[in-house]
Amino acid sequence: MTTAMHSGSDWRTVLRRLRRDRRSVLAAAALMGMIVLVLAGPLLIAYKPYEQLDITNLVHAAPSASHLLGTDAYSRDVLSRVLSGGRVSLAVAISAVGIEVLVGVLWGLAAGLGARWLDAIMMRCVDAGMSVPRVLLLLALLAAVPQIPVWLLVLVLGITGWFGIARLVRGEVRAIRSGDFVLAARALGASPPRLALRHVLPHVLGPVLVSATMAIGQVIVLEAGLSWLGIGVQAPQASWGNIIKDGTEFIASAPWVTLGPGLCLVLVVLAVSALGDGLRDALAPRQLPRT
Amino acid sequence: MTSDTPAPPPPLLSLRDVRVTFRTADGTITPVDGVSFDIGRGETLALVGESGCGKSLTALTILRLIDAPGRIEAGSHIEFDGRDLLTMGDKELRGVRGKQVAMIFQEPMTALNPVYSAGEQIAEVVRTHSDCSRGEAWAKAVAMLGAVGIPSPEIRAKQYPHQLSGGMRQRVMIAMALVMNPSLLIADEPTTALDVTIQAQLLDLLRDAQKARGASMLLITHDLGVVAESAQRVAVMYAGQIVESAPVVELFASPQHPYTQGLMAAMPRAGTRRERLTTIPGTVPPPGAWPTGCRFADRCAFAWKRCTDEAPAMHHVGDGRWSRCHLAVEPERRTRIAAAGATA
Repeated sequence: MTTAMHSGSDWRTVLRRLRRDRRSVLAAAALMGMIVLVLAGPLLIAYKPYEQLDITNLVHAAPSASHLLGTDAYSRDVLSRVLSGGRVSLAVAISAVGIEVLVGVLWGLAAGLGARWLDAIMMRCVDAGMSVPRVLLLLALLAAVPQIPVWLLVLVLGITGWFGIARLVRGEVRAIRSGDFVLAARALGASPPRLALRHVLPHVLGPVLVSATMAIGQVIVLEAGLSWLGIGVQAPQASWGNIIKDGTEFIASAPWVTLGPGLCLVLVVLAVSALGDGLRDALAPRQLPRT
Repeated sequence: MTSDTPAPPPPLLSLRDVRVTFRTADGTITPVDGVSFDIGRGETLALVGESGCGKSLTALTILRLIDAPGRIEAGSHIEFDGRDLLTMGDKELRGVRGKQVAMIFQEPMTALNPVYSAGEQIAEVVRTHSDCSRGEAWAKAVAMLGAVGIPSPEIRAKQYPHQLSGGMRQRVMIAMALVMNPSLLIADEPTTALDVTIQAQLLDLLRDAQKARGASMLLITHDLGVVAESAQRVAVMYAGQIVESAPVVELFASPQHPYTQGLMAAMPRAGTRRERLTTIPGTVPPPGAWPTGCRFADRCAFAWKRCTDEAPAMHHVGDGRWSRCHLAVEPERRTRIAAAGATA
């Protein structure tokens, strides 16, 4: 029996393919390593991220055995700030993407399964959301709230980012809903919510997972950008973006302040996008990998 | 109508003047145009016709599975077990779907959800219609797989559709349809996609299951061999209408409508030698291109002027027999043409 007719892939198969892909394994390991590091940060580093160690003698100290990434303009240990900031940056990105996925999937399901007029209205809203550049939208929203709390930042990032996922899900759902097995499920008495969640949703999870993985990279960069502009995560709370901001002024004399968070940012974004690519290939092995 | 004999028991399913329209860019078409039939309790009605005649659409209409731009027109009437299926609420209708009326589809390759195992698909139906726990539903699913003749059902229940053969997948579909003990089965070409040897096994399975449960069946097919084996009555559909309906023995013995006669002649028969099978010239015209008179007129050997001018009504042509043909009121034309054919 060949599996040529089989359109989906069960998750065990996907995981096996993923494990065989060296790029994905490496990316996953890097991400895991980063997550473990930022979570274990307080246990590993003796200094607190806000602690001004010695404002007279330890300003902009170069990396050394006691301060692996040196110190910043306020004599704070950069490594402890990078780990603490990483915790915030990753948590913000993951939570914001969680909101994106939740809203996008529900919106897309409703539009895809709904009547034509409902679909039309819902997708015009998505078009409207996508037609405004996200950064512009964020700047407008964030400028309205000085000293924004982190939870609100997450919410704002989430509600400006779900349009693409909604459109993706809606498209997949439209293709699936005319399928025989959806008709068969209806003929056997499945209610609309049951139909959506049990019969249609599993088929869109693959593409959604790929797109959510990629979105994490996007949001991390976005948050870093906003924090760099001073309207994201607010000092003294560290995030990769605002550590880079603090270091920008002294980039010539104390490059280590920006280098640490910068490299972490690049590493995470690369890993996330490589993992997303790997996932996409593992989900649809018949497609040739994109070059 | 009055008579001294007691009224026959009401049919389980009754369709009256069912019309389905679709709005297309080229105007409104009516692929199901005034279909009426009854199915008694425990009875099997075969709905026969070529591809595109509206038989599958008729089946979907019974469970109100027609989506926009399709519409079941006002004036259509579908009654099941004394209840009006076309006016009942969505929730009540979902209670009928799968529980009292179950459907078996033609393509077991695509009608099973690829992300669920065979057992999960059956258990899903159980859990939709009852308050069973996961474990109970699973046990029922495994038992049902055994009942439809799948060997080692415990193992098969955990397998996914792509791991099963076509015949086995269709057995899974049948198990899904039977698990709630419905009183009506709608089987839309249930064996068309399968090997001939498997077809016979599955027809036996369906017939036995139906008999054991006293269920009725609407069997949609274009295979007259299947009809002869499985059905008590036959309705022949052409271009959105039923053109002939009769008990199965009588229909095979003396088909009345020229279209039915054509179908019979096109069927290979054991024990006869023929160089070529007879065919009906032409194809079913698409809905929207139907002639105003008799819809079969331009493919019919008997057609005369009346056929292109006037649409024939359903004529009573014997005990329980109906034919939508002007020949029913002008039978002499049949012999005249046969004689002309013989001398030509």
